[in-house]
Amino acid sequence: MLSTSKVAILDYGAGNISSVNRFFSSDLECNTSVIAADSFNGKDFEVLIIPGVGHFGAAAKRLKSSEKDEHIKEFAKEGKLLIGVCLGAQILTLGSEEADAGEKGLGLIPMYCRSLKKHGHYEGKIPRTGWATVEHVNSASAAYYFVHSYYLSGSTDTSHLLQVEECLEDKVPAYVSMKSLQIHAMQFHPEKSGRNGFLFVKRILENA
Amino acid sequence: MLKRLSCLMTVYKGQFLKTRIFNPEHIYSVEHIPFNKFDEVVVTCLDHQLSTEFVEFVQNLTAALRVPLTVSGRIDSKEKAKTLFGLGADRIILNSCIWQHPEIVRELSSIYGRQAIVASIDVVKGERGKYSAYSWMKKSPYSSLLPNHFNYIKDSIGEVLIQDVNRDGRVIGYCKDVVTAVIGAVGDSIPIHIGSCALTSWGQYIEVLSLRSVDAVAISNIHHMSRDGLLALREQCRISKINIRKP
Repeated sequence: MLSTSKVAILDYGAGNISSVNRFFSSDLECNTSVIAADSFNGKDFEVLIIPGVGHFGAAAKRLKSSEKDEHIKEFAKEGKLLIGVCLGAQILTLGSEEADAGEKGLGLIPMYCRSLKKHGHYEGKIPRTGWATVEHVNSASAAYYFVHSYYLSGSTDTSHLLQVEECLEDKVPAYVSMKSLQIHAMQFHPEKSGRNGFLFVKRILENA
Repeated sequence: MLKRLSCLMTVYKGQFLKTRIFNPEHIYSVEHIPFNKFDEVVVTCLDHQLSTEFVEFVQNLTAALRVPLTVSGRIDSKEKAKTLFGLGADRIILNSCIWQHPEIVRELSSIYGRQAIVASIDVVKGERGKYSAYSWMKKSPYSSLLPNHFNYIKDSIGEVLIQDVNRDGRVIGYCKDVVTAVIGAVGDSIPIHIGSCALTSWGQYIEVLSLRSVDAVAISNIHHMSRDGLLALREQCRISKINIRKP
């Protein structure tokens, strides 16, 4: 499937595009296209990658202004594969405390992004920068590269909807997937996580 | 979080150099460096302007890199920052900018996030034994380690990189007082990355990595950058129960 699938990498001005594109096109040998958010048309693609680093409010605002947020939601609800990376993962949620003007996320994942200062177990510095070991449900634990100040937080019991994998050392959520749809949210950067990142995303693509 | 071992390279006119007190000495090749076995790669630029050669160096590096990249480049504007992020940098290093242009620091943080901003504190020891940051523009020390407006930009900074100017490239061992002086000034809320500080033995790496406030240590000595050197250091960390990743 992978080499023939059309993979869109969404460029909505939230950085990190070249590394993510290189990761999917060179390493994973996907047929990628970097698509400006306001040009995105879900019918042309089988996979959508939403990368991103930066400020949630600014990114959500740019995505909203592209007027393609509804297209992205439709894409995911059709059962197509949607992968969010770091800020791109947070954008998939309902919203974030970081959005001081109240900008909302896409609402595809019933979680909310909260400051790491409020995390029950994490007592480290902010931003949380570096490598941490993720406890996977279906594979061996592996270390990935993280850099973030907010985390994916479940506000109600959503265990029937979501699978959440946390970091071994501090229980910070690292990866969230929807059970009914092919939506995958990675707080870490697989494109910066060496072979572990490659293997992790490869598994998702192969199982899609 | 796991402690990080980074590879720190100083680049001048597109070439990786050994430096002494941050003055270019010898040119080195990069072919033997197992970049993706490090936890991060840090490139500091000695050029006075963002040169074509430096841009090409970073482009070549990012093409093969699958771990994070942090880059400096005399950044004093949004445009220069955009150029470096566009090349694939995950984080940028600000030096003079944190002293001269605090408003730019805040603006860059609002665009790229504070996690993308690294403040380099290049330390020198003054006449009365007082540690100060060094101004590369004025070629003289500032009057303190941090600017007076540091609190204004503190929340815009994602990491502090400590560089010991007097010891760079001299293989004379690191000075713990420099590290503790900066940590004391910065506080323990911002990640601390030990840059070129003349670490000469595995024992010194372990000593620095054992400091609770230290999050990352750069390997800046060419002789420690080989695959075998990195493996030996990781083994020392394992023996000393320092939590690092196993690539």
